[in-house]
Amino acid sequence: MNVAVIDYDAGNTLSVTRALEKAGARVCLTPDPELVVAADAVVLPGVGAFGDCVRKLKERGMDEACLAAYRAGKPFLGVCVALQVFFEASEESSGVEGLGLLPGKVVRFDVGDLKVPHMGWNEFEVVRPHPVLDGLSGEAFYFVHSYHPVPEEDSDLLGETDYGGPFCAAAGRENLAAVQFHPEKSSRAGLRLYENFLRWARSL
Amino acid sequence: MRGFTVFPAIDLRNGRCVRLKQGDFSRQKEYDADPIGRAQDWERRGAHAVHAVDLDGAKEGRPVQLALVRRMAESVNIPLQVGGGVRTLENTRALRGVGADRVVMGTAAVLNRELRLRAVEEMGEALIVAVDARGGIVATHGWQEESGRHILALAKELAEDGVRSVLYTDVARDGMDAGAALESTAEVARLLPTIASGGVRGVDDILALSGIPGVFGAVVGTALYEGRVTLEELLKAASGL
Repeated sequence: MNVAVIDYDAGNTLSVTRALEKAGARVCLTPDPELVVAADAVVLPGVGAFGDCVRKLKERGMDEACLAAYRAGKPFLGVCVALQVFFEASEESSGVEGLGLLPGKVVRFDVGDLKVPHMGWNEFEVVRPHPVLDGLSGEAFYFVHSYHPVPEEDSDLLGETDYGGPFCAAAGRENLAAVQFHPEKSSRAGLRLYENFLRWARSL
Repeated sequence: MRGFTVFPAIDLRNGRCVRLKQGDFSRQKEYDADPIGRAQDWERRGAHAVHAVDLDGAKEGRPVQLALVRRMAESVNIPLQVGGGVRTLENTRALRGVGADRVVMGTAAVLNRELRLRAVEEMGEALIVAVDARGGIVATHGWQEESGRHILALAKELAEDGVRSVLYTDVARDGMDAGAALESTAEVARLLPTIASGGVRGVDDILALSGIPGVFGAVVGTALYEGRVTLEELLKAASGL
C-alpha cells in the first residue's frame, strides 16, 4: 500500500507521515501532483486557515490532483483543516472556494462563554458507522480549531464532538473520509484511525 | 471536554534528561538519560502532552537541541510543547519546523512587547508565554535575573496583547518539592488561561490546581522523576475520578 501524503507546507506533514508509517503504510511525502494521482491512497494533512490551505494547494496544482484522486476512487483521508477544504466555502475566508467534494459550509464556533479555538482533548462519537472510525466512538482526540463544517447532506456526517453543542468532527462519502481532530497527536486512538484507514484502503 | 492536562516535563541538557533545582545549573540531577524513551514512556502511560525544556538553549539564549526535539516529535503521538532560549520569531519557526506543537517563549516575550505582538499574530494558540516569578516579581534570563516588575502587571499586559495562554512558574519552588504556588497561580489565571509549573508534589496539588478557574494544566517534573507520585495517579486526579 503506497500512501501519498500531500506536502504543501502545511506544518503537520511530518507527524502525519510518521503516524502512517507506524500504522504500517509505505509513505511518500510529496509536493508532486502526479505522484499523488499515482498513489494507492492519499492523505491530505492540514494546519491553519481555510483560505491559506486552498491557496497553497492551488499554487502547487494539488487541488486538481485531489479531485482526480477522489474521482478515480482512491481511498482519501483528510485531517484537520483538510476536512474543511473538502466543503464548498468557509466563513473564515470569504470569497475562497473550497474543493467542493462535500456540499455545505464551514462556520465559526458560536459557543457563548466557551473559549475559541476549541483546543485540547475531547470525546468523539460516531454518528454513522464507517470503517475508518471503527472502534473509535467514545475515544478522546486532540483538537485545535475555531471553525467546523456543517454538512448539507445528513449522510455525509460521520461523527460528532460536543463543544457548546454537537459539531461535525468527521465527514465523508464514497472513498473520502476526513476528521477535524489530529489523529497524529491523539496517541493510541489516533494510531488506530490510521490503521483503520489503511485496512479500509486495502479493501477498496 | 477534558479540562485539565498534566504535562510531564522533560528537561534536556546535552542530549540527556535532567532536573535542576530552582533553575540552578550547578544543582543538577540526571535521570534516565534517554529523552526519547522517556517521552515514549509518558505517552504509553497515558500522558496527553509532553513539556520539554532545552536547558542548554535557555542558557545560550537560543534553542540548541533542535535535532533532539525533532526526534522526540517523531517518536511520540501526542502534542509536544517546547521552551528554553526562545528569543526570536526565527527560534519559534525553527522549533515548529522540527515538530513542536506549541512553543514557550520567556524572557524575550516578557521584555519586548513588539516581538510579543508579532509572535501572537504569527502563532496564535501555538504561543505560550512563560511568566517566571520569584516572590511575586518577574524573573528573566533563565531565572538568573529579576526584572523588578510585578507578575500581575505583566499578566494583564499579556492578556491585552492577545496572548492565549501563559506558563506560570514560581521559581522558588521548582525542583524543591515545596507544593504548588496556589495563590499566585490563581491570581495570574484570573487574567488569562494558565499552565501551572513548579513545586507540584502530588495528587493534592493537582486536585487543588484543577479546581482553580483558568488553570488548564500543570507541568510536573521532579515529583515524577523522584518517584513520589506516578503519572497514572496524577492523570486520575486530573480527570476528576
